[in-house]
This record gives sequence, structure tokens and C-alpha cells, in this order.
Amino acid sequence: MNSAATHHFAPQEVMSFVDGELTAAESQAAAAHIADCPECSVIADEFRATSQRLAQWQANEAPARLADAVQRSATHAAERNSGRQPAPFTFAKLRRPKVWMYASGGALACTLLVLALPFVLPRHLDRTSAFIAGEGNGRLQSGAGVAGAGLENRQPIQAAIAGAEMDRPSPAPPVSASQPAPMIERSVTMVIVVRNIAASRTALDSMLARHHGYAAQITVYTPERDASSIEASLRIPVPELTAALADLRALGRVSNESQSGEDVTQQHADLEQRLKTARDTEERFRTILQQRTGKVSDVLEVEEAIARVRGEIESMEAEQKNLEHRVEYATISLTLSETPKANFSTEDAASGSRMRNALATGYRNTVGTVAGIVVFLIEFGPSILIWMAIVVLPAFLLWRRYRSIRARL
Amino acid sequence: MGDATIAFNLKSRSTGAGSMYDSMANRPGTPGSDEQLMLAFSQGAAEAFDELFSRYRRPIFGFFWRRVADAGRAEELTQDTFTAVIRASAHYRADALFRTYLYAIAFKVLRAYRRRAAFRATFLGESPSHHDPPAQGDFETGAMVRDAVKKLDPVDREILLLREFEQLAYAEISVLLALPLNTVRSRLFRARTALRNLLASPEPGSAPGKQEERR
Repeated sequence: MNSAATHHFAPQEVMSFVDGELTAAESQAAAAHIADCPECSVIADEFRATSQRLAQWQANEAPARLADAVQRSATHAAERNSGRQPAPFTFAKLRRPKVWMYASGGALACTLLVLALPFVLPRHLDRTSAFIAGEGNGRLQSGAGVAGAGLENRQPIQAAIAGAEMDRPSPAPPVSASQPAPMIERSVTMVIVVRNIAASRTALDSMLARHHGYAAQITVYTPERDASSIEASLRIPVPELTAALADLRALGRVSNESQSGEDVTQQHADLEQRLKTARDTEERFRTILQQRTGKVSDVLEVEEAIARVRGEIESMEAEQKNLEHRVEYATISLTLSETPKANFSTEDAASGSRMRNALATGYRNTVGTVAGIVVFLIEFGPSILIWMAIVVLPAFLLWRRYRSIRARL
Repeated sequence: MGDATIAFNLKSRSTGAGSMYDSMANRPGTPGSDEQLMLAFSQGAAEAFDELFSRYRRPIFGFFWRRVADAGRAEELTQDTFTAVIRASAHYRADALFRTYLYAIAFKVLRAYRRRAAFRATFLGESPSHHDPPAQGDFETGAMVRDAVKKLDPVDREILLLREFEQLAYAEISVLLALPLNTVRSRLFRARTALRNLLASPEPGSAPGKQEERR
């Protein structure tokens, strides 16, 4: 603010003084200065003259009906304000930001809920069913194991059938009168969860030695970041089976166990029968060879037949042996898995290579993304430009026109 | 001469063109002030609004009449302004001068009208009505003044009108137009200078400082 000592007030300050915008002290100083300064005095007069010229542009009297209409709404509003009438709903209320905020918030919440439902519900159901399945298995013994015991009950039926076959006139030589004991091929499947695979392996080996069994096949899995496991196919002599199974169960927590027995008595009997027949046939051929010495071709024929029969006999004998072995030795299909233990050690030998792999993947992704963008632009760029020309340009021109009209109003 | 100047000052403030209210009664806080009346109306006193209405009816009508090229339209917009004040009366709080509040509402109404009219003109092809507001009194000088004012830059014109006719203080103008106080002052100075030049030499040419399309 200029003090009275300076020669000039700025013209704007003179204007402020004329408009009464200065403080009392400033006003006084300005008035005093203007009184003495002809230039500032002229400026002040010019401002006042301009204001007076402007005042010549007068407005009409406001129409009377304006007053009535407003009076009426005022009365209604006063009634509402004093609480006698509730405020009516107007569409103007919809323009308030709060309404839109709540509406959009609600819509957003509903949308999210609808989108999330398919993900939430099935997982919930899956977990429930998994829970039911998991808990039950550990304590179940499959029906087959129980049925194995029930096979003994079939013996009388077997005997009856065999007896019936004995009575039936058959082209084969009569079957032996003595009924063989039922031959059951036993197999057991077990899944056990153990604490330590290595210790269990040792225990397994000692168990096999104890029970005079052997392992037909063992596979050990030791993945890097997952639980180790063993899959084994064991053979245990049937008399030792129960004890062996008890030993196995002691290894850990049995999560799955099933036993089955296949009755191969008939199979065996059939084999026996065929063998006998074949042997008899062979015998007869040999007798023929010995007794009748005929033409060379006849002899050769007989020898060929003998060889064929011998081959059949030998294969049948092997099959019989196999069958007998399978009856003598039960098969245990064992799966041992370790309770998964998370690895505490952060010193992962692979983390260095993981970083490197991540870098490589990241670089590939970047290149891929950039290439994708470029490809997109090349593929769609021209079309986008055309659409922009068709749509955006006219809209822009209209907008410009709107602005210019608005400015002129 | 100094005293006379000061007296003239006060006089020019209290009896501007188109203002009818008594500046003595309108000091905020005194009974019968605008703020008191509005508060009374917000609590249910219908007659309080009558007083306010009678005080501001003509100023608001003049406000619109000077900016909108149609007396009928000005009447509508005045009604809209008062209706808006009535509707918001339940929530009225005497935060600022009632006068600033009222003119702020009037401005909103004006802007809304301008937007609608421009929209209709652009997209629906309706041309905005171009009746020049008729001038009373000395027809020729009134018309001359009106035309000179029209030639000013839109924002300068608005500041000038608010100062000269609505008699708003610089601070009120800066609040209403959301401009810094110094800007208001300098633009008002520029507007008055331009107007003076236009009125001094009435030619159909452009005045210094006029920018037609800027907003």
C-alpha cells in the first residue's frame, strides 16, 4: 500500500478507493492524496462517470405474477419447515451426490457378490466331501477282506459242483476222487503314512527277512520339495501273512487297506486235468513210436506230435507252478508315504537358478507384451482411426460449437 | 473536497442502480438482517421470506435481465432462484452473508440455463433467443451502454456487472467467480477502462482487452 509520501497511487488503488474497498486508514490516506493530486483526481472522476453512464441501463420492474408464484412456494415451504408437512420427493433429490454414492456402492457390492458366488460355493462343497472321505479311510477294512473269510463257506458248494462233474460223462479221463483243498490267491493293498521313509525302508527289509518274504519290486521316490514315498510289491508266504501285515501296520498310520482273495481252485484243477490228458497223450505217442516202426514219414509225424505235446505240457506245468506260487505267496501292494514336512531351510540350492529363470521369464514376458501391443496396433490401428474419424471427430466439432454458443450467451 | 468524496462514496454504495435495500437494516446480526430473516424462515416463519423476497426481487430480476436476452426468461430464472432458496431453506445455516448465498444460487441457475440453451442450440438446432433487453429511460444511451457492455470479455463483463449493478464487494465477487482477489481487481480495472473507451468513441470495432470466445 502506498503511503501519502509517494507521488502516485496506482490507478487500481484509486479505483479501490472509489469502490470503498480500502480500509478506513487507507481510505483516509487515499482521500487526502487525491485531494492534492490532480492526476489521481481525474482518474477517480472518470471512474465515477463510467459508473453513472452504466446506471443509465435500467431494468424493468419484475412482473407481478412472479411475486405470486414465489409467495405460494414460500408458504408451503414454511409449513414444511415448521414441521407440519413432510418434504416431498423431488427428482432434484436424485441429483444429490449422496444418493448416487449409495446407489453405486450398493450396485458394486451386489456385482461382487454375484461374481464371487461360483468360486465360494463349490470349494466349500469340495472341502466337505474331502473331509468325509479322508477321515473314513483310515479305519476301514474293505469288504473283500471280510469276504476272504467267507470264501471258506463256499467249499461245500465247490465240492457239490466237483461231484456233479464227476458224475457227468466227460470225454476226458475221470477226475481224481480226492477233492483238493481250496486254493486262494491272496492279495493285499495297503497305503501307510509314515514319519520317516528311510527308517521305514529298513523296517520293511527286516520284516521281509523275518517272514521269509521277498520284494518283487520296490520304487522309492524322493522329490526335492515334496514328501518321499515308496511303492513296493511284496511276496509273503501265506502262513506268515497275518503277522507280516501286523508288522506293516506298525510302521505308521494306515490310511488305506484292502484284501482280496481269488479262488483259483478250479483253475488249478482244470490245469491239472489238462496236464494229465496231455501226459497220457504223450505216453501213447511214445508207445506208438516204440511199437510200430513204419515208414520214416510216419515216424517223423509221431515225433512231431510228441514234441508239440511236450511243449504244451511244459507251458502248462509252468502255469501251474506260477499258480501254486501265487497261492503259496500272498502279494502285498504297499505304498508308504511320508507326512509332508515343510522345508525350513531357506538355503535352497535352486533359488539362484530360480532367480535366473524368473529374470529370463520376465524378459520374455516384457518382449511378448511389447510385441503384443505392436501387433495389436498394426492389426487394429487403422480400424480404430477410421472409427475415431467417424465418431469422435463430429462429436468434437459439436462440442466446440457448444462451447462457442455457451460463451456467447 | 475530501469529505464530499467520502460522502459520495457512501451514497454510491447504498443507492446503486437496481438495488432497493436499506444498507442500515442489512447489517448482519441486527434483527431484521437478511441472515436473521432467513433463519426465521427456515424455522417456519413464512412472513420472514416475504420481507427477503421484497428486498431481493428486483435485484435478482435485474441480475438475470442483464445477462439473459429475454425478459420472460429472466422472470423464469428469478423464480427458479427463489424456489431453490425456498427448497434449501430447511438446511440453511448462516455461514456467510445471505446476499452472497443468494447470488451464488442465482449464478448456478444462470449456468444451468446457459448449459441447457447451448446444448439445445448445438444438438437440437434451436437458436438461442436474441432479443436484446430493452432499455428504459433514455433509450439511446441505454442501448449504447448495453451494446458496449456486450463487447467486453465475458469474465470482465461479469465482474463489472457484479460490481456496478449487484454492488458486490471485491471479496464477494472473487468467491462467486472463484477468482483470486487481485485478479478481480485488475480485471475490473481493465473492464472499466475498456468500457470508458467504448463509450467515448462509439465505433463498431473491438475494444482493447476484449476476447470474444474465451471462457
